[in-house]
Amino acid sequence: MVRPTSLSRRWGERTRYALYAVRHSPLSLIGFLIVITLALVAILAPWIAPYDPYKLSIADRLQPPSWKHLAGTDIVGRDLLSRVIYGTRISFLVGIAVVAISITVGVFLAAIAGFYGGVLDMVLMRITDGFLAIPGFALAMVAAAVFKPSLFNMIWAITLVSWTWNARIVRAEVLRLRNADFVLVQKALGAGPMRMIFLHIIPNCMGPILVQASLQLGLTILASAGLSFLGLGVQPPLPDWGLMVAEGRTYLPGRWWLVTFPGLAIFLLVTGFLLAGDGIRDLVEREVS
Amino acid sequence: MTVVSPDELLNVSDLTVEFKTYRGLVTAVDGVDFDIRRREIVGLIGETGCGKTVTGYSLLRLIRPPGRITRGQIVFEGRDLLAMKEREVRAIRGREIAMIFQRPMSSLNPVFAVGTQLVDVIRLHKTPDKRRAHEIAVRSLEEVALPEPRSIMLKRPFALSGGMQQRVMIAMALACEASLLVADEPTTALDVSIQLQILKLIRRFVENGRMAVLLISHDMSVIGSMCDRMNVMYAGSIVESGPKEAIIDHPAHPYTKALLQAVPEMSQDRAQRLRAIEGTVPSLIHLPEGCRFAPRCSWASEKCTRTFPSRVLLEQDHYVNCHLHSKEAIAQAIGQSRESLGAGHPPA
Repeated sequence: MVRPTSLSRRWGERTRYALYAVRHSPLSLIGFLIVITLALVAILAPWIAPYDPYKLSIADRLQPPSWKHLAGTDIVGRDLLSRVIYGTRISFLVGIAVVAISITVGVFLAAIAGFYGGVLDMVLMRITDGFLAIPGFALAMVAAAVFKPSLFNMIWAITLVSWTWNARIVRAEVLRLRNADFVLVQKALGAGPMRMIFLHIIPNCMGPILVQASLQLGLTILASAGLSFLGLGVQPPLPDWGLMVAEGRTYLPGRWWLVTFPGLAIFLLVTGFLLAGDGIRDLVEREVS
Repeated sequence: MTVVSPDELLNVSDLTVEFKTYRGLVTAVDGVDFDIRRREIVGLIGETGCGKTVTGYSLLRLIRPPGRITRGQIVFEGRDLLAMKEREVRAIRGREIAMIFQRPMSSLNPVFAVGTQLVDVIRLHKTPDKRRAHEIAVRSLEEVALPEPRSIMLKRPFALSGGMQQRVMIAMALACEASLLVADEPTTALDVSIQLQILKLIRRFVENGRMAVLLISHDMSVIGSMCDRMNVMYAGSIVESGPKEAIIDHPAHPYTKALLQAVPEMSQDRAQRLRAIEGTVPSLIHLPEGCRFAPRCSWASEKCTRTFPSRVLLEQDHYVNCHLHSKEAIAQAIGQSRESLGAGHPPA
């Protein structure tokens, strides 16, 4: 068959196009590199971490950075570098889980609301507005505090406040596409509402959805670090960056490494996602025009 | 009134479509009757805003709010489409009645390859089998004379020209073997040389196959070259209908006459100006009480502005809605000519 070769040729074209676009915006290239590197770190954590991140060693407690412990050790003598490396896994887990759920929920509700319009649209959008009216982080704090603070509950708490933006953005796109010619053509060809929404309207919203997803990944990681710092998120002894900053802050400024390395990790990953998001936005906009 | 012939595929009677707008109720289509027989091309001609497209959309029940079909019947192969549930209509769309639209450039989903979309439609209506659907897709692209169908199938719509996209749309209708194709200004957005190719293509499928076409256009030359029968529409209602030759050779309605006079001809003397129709189309919100064309008609009498003209049969299949051809008018004309004969004047 002709198909496989032609398909791979098309993928080649797309990759070349993506590389071209990325080369023309060096900042987003940096973003992509950071995200890819940290993703590799997360996957390969057991092989690149020099020590077991949970192994206590009271004798080695509060060691400054040295060749033996590149980032020093914490109050109970655990190797800080290993803990920061394992922390990457938690950050990605939280980010991906929150974004996956909130994009799915937001897109689904927005597509239904935007497509059918009328009372359904009004009810769903007023609920969304209700959530948007409360400051997100405050609501997440309350939600996380009401339940027993844990990694799992924190994911739900952040999801609760982050789906609303997705719903808003996607609904605007659906409203625009609902009356597009090709959707009417599909109707004339015998497509039902589900086919029109999920096969034709949503794939045409993928650009804004991708941009939103990458920006939200960054913001989610920031929020999760904040909640964990306040004790409302990840609980010890898990190696979470926000939690590590919280544990180290009483030893400032003398034991600077306790806060600096996890803080740097948060900064890097959040920046990486935000820059990558900008890059995707450029790509999408250029493709549209 | 009309005798249902076994050849009849579609019969529309008293179709009325209204749009609720903030300025009032717009009656876009008002009591339209026409029929389509198997394997024929029926034209629907009229100027912009006369309700042609709304009529076409009604046949597939594609009218969206604030529009609504408020009256009438659309009987397709013995079934009234307007009495059906949405689900039942969905099974007819694409499979039995297909439609192609004015703007082929935006008729295809921009994110998928055209082959994917073609195969999707075939799988929806013909066969769930992917491989079979793929074969049918290739074959129907060949039929619409697209070169290298397999490579075209992998292309996304923006990589094709408008004419090619319209061919793909026609291929979709063909692949599902629809028995009626509603073609809403299929060539208006294309350039002239491509127009002819697309029209020839449609004509060939009617001649070779089992498809009938409702061709909607504002272009008398398109309708004149394509159709077997035609309906002339003005301000929401059909004013004249009949075989193409009859209407073109001896148009009965003043509007049809005016339309035909507005067509430029190659043989025409260059100094001769084309005749434009005086005045403008009436607002569909405040329709004149009598004949809608009366305000622009140079033969209009007082009767024309008062009462709506009913349908008059002129000859086999040729109908007109005009008081000039009503029984009384003809009787009067005959009376007058007798009088003048009696007075010794020969009739002009």
